[in-house]
Amino acid sequence: MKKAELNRMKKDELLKLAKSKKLKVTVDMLKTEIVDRLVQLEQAKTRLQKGGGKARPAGTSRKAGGTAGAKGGGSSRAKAPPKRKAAEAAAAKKKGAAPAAPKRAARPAGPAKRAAGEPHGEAAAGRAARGKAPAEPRASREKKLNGATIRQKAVASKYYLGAEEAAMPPVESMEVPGGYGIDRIVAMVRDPHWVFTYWEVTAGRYRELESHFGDTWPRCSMILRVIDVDSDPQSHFDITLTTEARNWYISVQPDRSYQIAIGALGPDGTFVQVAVSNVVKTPRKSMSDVVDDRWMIPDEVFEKIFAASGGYDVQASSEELRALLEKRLLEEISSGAVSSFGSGAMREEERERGFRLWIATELILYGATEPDARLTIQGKEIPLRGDGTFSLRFALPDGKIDIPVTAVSADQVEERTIETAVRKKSEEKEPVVR
Amino acid sequence: MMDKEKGYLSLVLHAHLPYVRHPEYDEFLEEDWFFEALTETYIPLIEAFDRLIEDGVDFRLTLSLTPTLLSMLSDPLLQYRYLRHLNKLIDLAGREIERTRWMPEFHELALMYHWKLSRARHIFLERYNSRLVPAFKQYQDLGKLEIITCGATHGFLPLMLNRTATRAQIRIAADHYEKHLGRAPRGIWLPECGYVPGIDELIKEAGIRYFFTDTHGILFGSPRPRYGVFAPVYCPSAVAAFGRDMESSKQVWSARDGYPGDCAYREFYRDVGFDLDYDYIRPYLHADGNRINLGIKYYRITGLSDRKEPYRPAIAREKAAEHAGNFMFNREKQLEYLNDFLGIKPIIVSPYDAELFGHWWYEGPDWIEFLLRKLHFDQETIRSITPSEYLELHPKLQIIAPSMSSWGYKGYSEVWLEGSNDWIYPHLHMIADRMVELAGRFPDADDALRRALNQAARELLLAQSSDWAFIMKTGTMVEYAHKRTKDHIARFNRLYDDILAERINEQWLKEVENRDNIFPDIDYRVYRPMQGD
Repeated sequence: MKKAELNRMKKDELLKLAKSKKLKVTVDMLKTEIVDRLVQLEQAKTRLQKGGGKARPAGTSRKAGGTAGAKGGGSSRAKAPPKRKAAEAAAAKKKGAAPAAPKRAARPAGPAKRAAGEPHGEAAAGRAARGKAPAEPRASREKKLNGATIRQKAVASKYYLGAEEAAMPPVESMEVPGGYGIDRIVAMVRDPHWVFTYWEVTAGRYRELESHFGDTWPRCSMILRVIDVDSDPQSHFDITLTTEARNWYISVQPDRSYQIAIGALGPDGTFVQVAVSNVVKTPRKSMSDVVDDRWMIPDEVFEKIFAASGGYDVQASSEELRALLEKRLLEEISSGAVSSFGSGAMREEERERGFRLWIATELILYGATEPDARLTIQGKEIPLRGDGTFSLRFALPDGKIDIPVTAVSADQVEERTIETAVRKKSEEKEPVVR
Repeated sequence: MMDKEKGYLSLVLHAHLPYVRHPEYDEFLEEDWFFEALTETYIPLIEAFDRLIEDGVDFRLTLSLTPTLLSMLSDPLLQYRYLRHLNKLIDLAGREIERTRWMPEFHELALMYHWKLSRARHIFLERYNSRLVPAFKQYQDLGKLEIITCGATHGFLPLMLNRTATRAQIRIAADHYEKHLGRAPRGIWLPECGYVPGIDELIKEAGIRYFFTDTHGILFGSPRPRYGVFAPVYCPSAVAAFGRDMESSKQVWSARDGYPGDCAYREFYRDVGFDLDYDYIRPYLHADGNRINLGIKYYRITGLSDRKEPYRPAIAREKAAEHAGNFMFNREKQLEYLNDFLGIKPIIVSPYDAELFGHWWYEGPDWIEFLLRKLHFDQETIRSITPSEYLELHPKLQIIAPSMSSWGYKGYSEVWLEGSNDWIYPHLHMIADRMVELAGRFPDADDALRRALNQAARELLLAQSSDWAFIMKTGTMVEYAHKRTKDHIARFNRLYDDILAERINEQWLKEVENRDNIFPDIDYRVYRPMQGD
């Protein structure tokens, strides 16, 4: 479908179409964004049909397209003009340009280069597989929690009922807004090495920027300016944004303060700020250098206390972790396929063969006698239903079982017995793998 | 006992569930979270405490009961629904006794479940008249249990930006505690142990004397902690902070040799809800008919393979006793070792999620009971203590500013801030700011306006529960977490718009009040900013 045709469709219809194509879209996305994704998907498909390499629709994966350069402004960033055309340009560029970027020089900007709101779509897609299926293989249910630490598993078990979710029809369906119509940027500390930021730039503000820059607007970039508040003179580095980005994870240093501005960077290097964030401070990730002289002790004693407290474990584990993260991140960049690491990598379900077979046998024994009779099965009295019928269900193990069923009339005069016996034998053959 | 001890042990259990209550449906899947925790954790703990007291065991334990959990424990609708749930299970267990007649190893288990479930009903209904909060309170009044509070809805404080709204999480919790437990809380368990500098001041304002941080919160604090995590510290605000001990934590959580993974213990993932014939268990499932866990589980962990052996309760119980002995032995050794060079009597603080005991680790309540017994009868090295008691004995502490930390995976905020859940923050921050704006704009509202403002506060609080972000990350029941987050945000925003436009729809307000009815006495003015906010 051509872009023009898509543009004529209503947002509802576009959403439906996008979802049917398994694209991750949400109601809070702009119509143009949905159109962009559909167009990109179309293009990706065409390339695949032509036998080209792998290409993915935006949203399923995105490389570190906007890269956080070294201090003082990145050098290797792709100058994509803001607004609509950028997505197309970026999509076109993606295939050739990104892998060519030097891996090490271009530090990854962070794990989630994803537009806000995406998880909604993901959840909806996941739900499609639900049903009253027979018992889902236990192994695959369990796998959902695999990869987590034992403690994580235990805590997650609190919310784990074994089931796919029940579809409770909403009593009242309300949605959250896509934005609040305020130009703002907010910074949050995730850990000693990462700061998360999200922002909103209103359409009105974009128009102002456009008129400010005039003819040079197509050559402008929207950037994040990450200001190292503690440095003197104040230094910063810039991150070039892709149009669809609404948030970013920024790699930073422990125990430092940062403030992030968002705005447009002109081709001549002039920066027009749209909004500036709160100041955030990352925690230190090692012991403090400050020693309180009223509580002074010999270094070797402190060492011992620090070690007994698990101090070296804390540090070692965060160091290992750091190394692991960087390694993984680099691998992901070179393989060019990841949407979000943190959780993404963890939740990646292994695609091992989950084939299995198990059986169990049960015996249902039912019948009827007079409602006031006394019935025993294997000598144990069994309550009767009002009409004198009874029904029992037994798990049936291997071996022979004799089942005498006896009914005695209410007046004790008459007794009837039926003896039945069952023999069960199961044998598991060697599995065959072809 | 005078001074024989080499140090202290403070066991802390954090009991929490998010507020899940859906009167708009006849039954609701996620309410089972609460029911399962009742049957497997809260009631067994009460049983254990009752037995300990009967046997004259002088135990000490600190337990956080979050305001959401206290609210659910006190809610008549949920109490009624729990009984309904329990009765169904007792019926199933009865049928299981019949069904397993020819398989002795399962038959014995079916009898056990029938007995345990019937016993849970007896304790819940007959002994405590469906009201478990007074049950917990009695142990506190006896001086055995110290109940502490938590964030009002378990909002993860380090990711909140609005100071007034952060304060409200703590304030509302402290008021709520007092209402349910008859006195002000002395301590607080910060949701997810999440601390960021400045929170201590809000704790102080609420009149609370201590909180907990993870190990690195104290260790990386400044100046350097003279006693590591083996003594609490005062924050600059003069609130005490107790650091989590890593060694005792590892003994439970180690992937290789943590207690709950022992082969003799019950396997969590094998459940009759999935193992038995569909038609047979159908009457015990929810109306949608999807298979779910029913809590009757017949196998033990056995080993790594999928082939599981039948569960043997007597052997598992022996194991729990052995593990309790092992835990105590290691604490004795730890205290003796530390005592040599620390310079004071060390305190070991061992916090765990309460629902670990019973729900995930089925034998956990037995383990706790064995441990508390052994601590009382079998040794003199360790003195079991609550943080309040410790502070009374040792009021002189070093002053340290703790470092940002949490007990979540990797020690900071990543669990609640990553690709799957970061979309919630633009909304959560905005509605927190809006709530503060409303409280400032309407300092003394009446009637419908006041009700709308109070309801807006409830919606904000419910949206802030850290559980939703956590569930989005772990990937089970995600849809529900999305729905809850969006519903509360959207309801807040509608209230906000309606309030400002002076067009409050009382009919709709009433419906929402009925649905999200937590904190009936809430006063929205708790969101009025204070000086310096």
